[in-house]
Amino acid sequence: MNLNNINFILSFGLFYILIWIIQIFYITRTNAVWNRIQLTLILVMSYFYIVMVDVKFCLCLVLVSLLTFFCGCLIEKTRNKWILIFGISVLIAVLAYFKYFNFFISSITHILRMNRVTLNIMLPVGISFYIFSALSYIIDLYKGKISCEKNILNFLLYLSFFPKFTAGPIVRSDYFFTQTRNYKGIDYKGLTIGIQIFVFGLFKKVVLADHLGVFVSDVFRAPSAYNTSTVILAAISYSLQIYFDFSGYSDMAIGISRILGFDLKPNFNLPYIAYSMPDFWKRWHISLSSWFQDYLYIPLGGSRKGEIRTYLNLLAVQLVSGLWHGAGWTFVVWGMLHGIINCVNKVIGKRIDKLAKAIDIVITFIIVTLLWVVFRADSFENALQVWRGMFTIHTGINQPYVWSYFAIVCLVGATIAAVIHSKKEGCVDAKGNPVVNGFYPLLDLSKFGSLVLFFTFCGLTIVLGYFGNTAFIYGAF
Amino acid sequence: MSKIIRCLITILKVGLAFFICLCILSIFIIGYAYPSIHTENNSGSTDWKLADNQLRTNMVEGFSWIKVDSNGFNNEVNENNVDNLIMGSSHMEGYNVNYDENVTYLLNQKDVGYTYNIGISGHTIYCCAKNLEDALEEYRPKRYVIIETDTVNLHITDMKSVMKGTYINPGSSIDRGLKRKLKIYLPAVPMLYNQIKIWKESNLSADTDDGSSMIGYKNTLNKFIERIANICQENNVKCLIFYHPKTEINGLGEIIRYDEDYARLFKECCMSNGIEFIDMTEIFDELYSDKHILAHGFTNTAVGTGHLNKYGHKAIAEAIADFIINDRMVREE
Repeated sequence: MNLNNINFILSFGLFYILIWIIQIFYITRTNAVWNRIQLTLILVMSYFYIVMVDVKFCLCLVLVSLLTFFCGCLIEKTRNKWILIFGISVLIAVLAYFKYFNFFISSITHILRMNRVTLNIMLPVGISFYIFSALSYIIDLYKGKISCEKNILNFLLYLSFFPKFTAGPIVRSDYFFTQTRNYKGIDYKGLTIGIQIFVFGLFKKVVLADHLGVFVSDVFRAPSAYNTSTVILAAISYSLQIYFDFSGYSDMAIGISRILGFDLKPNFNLPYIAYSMPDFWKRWHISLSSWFQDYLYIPLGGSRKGEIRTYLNLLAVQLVSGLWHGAGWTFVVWGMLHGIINCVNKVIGKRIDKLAKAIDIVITFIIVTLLWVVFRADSFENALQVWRGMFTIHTGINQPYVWSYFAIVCLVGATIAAVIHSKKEGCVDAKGNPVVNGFYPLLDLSKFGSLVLFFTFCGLTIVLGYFGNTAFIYGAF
Repeated sequence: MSKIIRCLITILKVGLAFFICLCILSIFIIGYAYPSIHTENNSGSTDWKLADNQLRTNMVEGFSWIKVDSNGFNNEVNENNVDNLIMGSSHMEGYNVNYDENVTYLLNQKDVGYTYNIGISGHTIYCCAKNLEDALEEYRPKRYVIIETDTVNLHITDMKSVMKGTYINPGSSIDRGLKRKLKIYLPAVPMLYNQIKIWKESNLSADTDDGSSMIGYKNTLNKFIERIANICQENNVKCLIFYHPKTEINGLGEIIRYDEDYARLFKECCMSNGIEFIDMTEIFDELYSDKHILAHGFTNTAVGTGHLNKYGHKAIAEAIADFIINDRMVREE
C-alpha cells in the first residue's frame, strides 16, 4: 500500500466523501457517538488497505495487536516483570522470524560453508514499524508512564492506522491514545491543511525522489562505466533521493492523518543542515532515533556509565539501527560506521565546534553521503566500486542529470526559506539557542488566490512527476 | 436559502480557480512540453502527420524546440525536388533534439542531395512498409528511400498483416474534435490526462513478452523485405534500411547486445533482396568504447534509453552519408 498510488488516493477520496455524507446524515446524533463511528470506519479502512496487500499480513498484525493488548492489560494489573519479558520476547521473535531468519541462516551456512538453506518467508508490510510501536507500549506501561488502553478498537487502530502503517512515523502510544480519546472527527480545516501537506509530500516523492531514483539506479548498477563527476553526482543524488522519498512519505502520512483529524509529529527536520552526526540523527527519522534513545540507549546506561561504556552504547544503538533498516550485512556495516563516527564525533567534538558552522554542515553532509553509499549498494563490492569511482579520477559516461540539480535547488531553496521563517518566528531549542526548523508553507485555501496557487502546484506535481513503478524506500524496512 | 447560495458561490470559486490554474499550467506547458497535434494524412504516406507550421517544445526527454514544416513533418526546408526520403518513427521525427541536430538536417549539410524526412511517431518498420508505396508516389525521391528501425526482431503476425494489406497501426492517434481543441487551446488538460493515465498504468504489472516462434521467421522476414524491395524497384529508387540498437550496460560497464543473431538474419534478407542495410551496432559500440558516449538517452532521462540523442543522430547521419558517397563513387568508377 503506497500512499502515492493513484488507486489509494482515489479510494481514500471516496472514503472521505462517504464520511462527509454520513456526517450530514448523522447531524442530529451526539458528537461522541459520531466520533466513535468515525474512528471505527478509519479502523475498517486501515484493515481494508492491509488486506488488499495480503490477507496474511493482516493476520500477523491482528495477532501482534491482540498479544500486545492483553499483555498490556496483564502488565498493568500485575506489574509482573515476566509478562513484560514474555511480551518483548514474543514481539522480537516475530520480527526476527519474518525479517532476519533467512539472513541469519544464510550467514551461518555461509560461514560454516554448508549448503545454503532459506525459507520462503514473506516480509509483512510495516512490521518493523508496528512491532516497535507495540514494544514502546508495553515498556511504557510497565514503567508506569502510561495507563492501559481499555478500548480494543482504539488499540487495533493504534497499530494499524493506515497513514503511518507502511513506513511510520513510529507514533508513541500515549500521544496516539490522547488523540483517540479526545477525537473531534474530520473537519474542513483539517482537510485544507492536510491536503496541502499531502501534496507537498507527493511532490517530494514523485517529482524529486522518483526522478532521482532513475539516475541513481543506473549509476549504482555499473559505477565503473561512469566518470568521476557522474558517480559523485549519483552519490549526492541518492542522499537527496532517500531524503525526499522518506520525508515525502512522512509528509503524506501526516497530511492524511490531518485530513482524518489526527496530528502526527514531523519525522524530519532539515537533516542536511546538521552540523554533526548526533545532530543529524536528531533531524533524520526523528521518531526512530528517539525510540532508540528511549528504549535502547538510555536503558543500556546512555552516557552515565563512563566513557568506554558510552562509546559501546553508541555503537550498539547504531548497529541495531542498521539491522533494523534491513537484513543484510551492508546495513549492519552502515550502522556500525555511523556508530564509529558518532564515537569519533564525541571524542573530537570540541575541535569540530571550533570550525565554522557552515564547514561543519558540509563535512557532515559529505560523511552522511559516503555512508549512504553503503546503505544503497547491493553488496560491499558495489559500495567499494562507487567509492572508488568517487575518489579516483577516471573517464566514463558523463551524465549531468538535470533532475539532480533541480533537487539540489529545491533543497537549498527550502532550507533558505526555513532559515528565514525560523528567524521570523524566533525558533529556539530547549536551551534557548536559535535553531532552524522546517515548516510547511501552508496557504489559506478560503482565499481565491491561494486556491489558484494550490491547484497550480497540484497540476505541476502531476505534470513533472515520474510515474514509473516505484515503491517507498523505507516501505521495504 | 443563504446556505445554498453560499455553497454555490464556493463551488463557483473552486471551479474558477481550477480553470485559471489550467490556463496557467497551459502557458507553462507551451514552454515545457507542448504536445504535437496529429492530423490525418490523406496521401497515405504516413498514417498521420503533425499540424503544419506548429511549434513543438520538449523538455521531458531531452531539451528541444522545433518548428514543423508546411507538410507537417520535421524539416528545416521544404523543397519539391527530393533526392532521398527518410521514413521512420519518433526517432526520425526528432523532437528530442534541436532542428540542427537531427539526421535530416545533418544529411542536408553533406553532399548527398536533398533529403526530406517524413518520420513520425508510432511509425515502426511495419507501418513504413505499409505506407511505402504511397510515400514514394507522393515524394518521388530520385535516389534513396531510407527506412529507420530500432528493432530487427520483428513479429511474424505484423509482417504477415503488412503483406496482406491488413496492418493497422496500434498506436493510432489522430486528434479530432474536443481532444484537438484542448490540445490547441488548453494543452494542460491532455497533459494531465496522459500523466494520470501513466500513473494508473504504473500500478499494473508489466505484460510479458510472448516470444514469437522462430519457425518460419526467416521465410516471413524474407517475404516482408522482398515486398519493400519490389515497391522500391517499381518506383526506381534504391532502398536503405538502417538499424540503431539500444545500448544496455552491465555491471562491469560493458555493452550487452541481445539481437545480434536477428541483425545478421535481417542483413542477409536485405542483401538477398538488393536492399542496403546499415547496422549501427558497431558504430555505437565504438562511440561508447572510444568516447563513453551513448547514442540514446538524455541528461533528464535514464542513461542510454529512450530516443536517439544528438550523438546518435550525428553518428547515423555520418554513416548514411558515407554510404551514399561511397556508393556514388563506386558507380562512377
